[in-house]
Amino acid sequence: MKRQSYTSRQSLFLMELILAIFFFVVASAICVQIFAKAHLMSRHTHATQIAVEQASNAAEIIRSNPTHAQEALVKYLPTATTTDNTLTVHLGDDGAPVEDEGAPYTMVLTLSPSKTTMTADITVTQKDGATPLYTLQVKKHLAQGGV
Amino acid sequence: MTTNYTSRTAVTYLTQKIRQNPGEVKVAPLPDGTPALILADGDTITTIYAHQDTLKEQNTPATQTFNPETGTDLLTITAFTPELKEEHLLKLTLRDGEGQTQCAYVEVNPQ
Repeated sequence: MKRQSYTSRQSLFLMELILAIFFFVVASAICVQIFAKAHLMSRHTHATQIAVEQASNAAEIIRSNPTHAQEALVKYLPTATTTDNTLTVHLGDDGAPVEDEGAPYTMVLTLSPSKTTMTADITVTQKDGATPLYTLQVKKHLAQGGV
Repeated sequence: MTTNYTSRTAVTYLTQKIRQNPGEVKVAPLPDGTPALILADGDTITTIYAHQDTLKEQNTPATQTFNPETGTDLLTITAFTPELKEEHLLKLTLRDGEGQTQCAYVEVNPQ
């Protein structure tokens, strides 16, 4: 009788221990997922901030000199490569323009000048990303003469 | 991530101040030779400048003599360089206390 009670208490303790380990494993799995998600969100936020900053800088350069926007962009973003009305700028980890084609970010500026308006579409994409990080359209009325 | 709360916030603050300013925006040297950002608004002049490793802002009447000691502290920095690159383009470069450099272009005095 005594022996049976001892065995019963032992198995009860074992069950309690298994339950505690089970809850610990579940809680750990949830925490790891939360940390991983937070890390990914932080990286995405950093990338978006770089995209917004660089697109805004390019937009301000265009707005300050709409009649000669392409020349101004080449002057202030010297690593830009030009094809007709499109400029491509590779950006490094800190957002600074670099010549390396394998850079983490790429900014593409498409200029559409007309007689009265300079329109520019700016798109920043990440190296591995399919969707653009940030897009911005700039329109500036040309005071006289046009392009 | 700390950069978000230091130099990025400061650059955003400065660009907003410039955009809000209805008057002329210019860059002029202080008596000690360091370049300062000057925002003129009627009879009031806002001067933003670096003084003793601190970014400072001072609002003074146009007639009052400028004293760099009396400005309001904005941020601990190691360098602040406003440059008027063209008639309508201002370049702001700011290096915060942690050595992070932020650079921003802003259109000024729109046509």
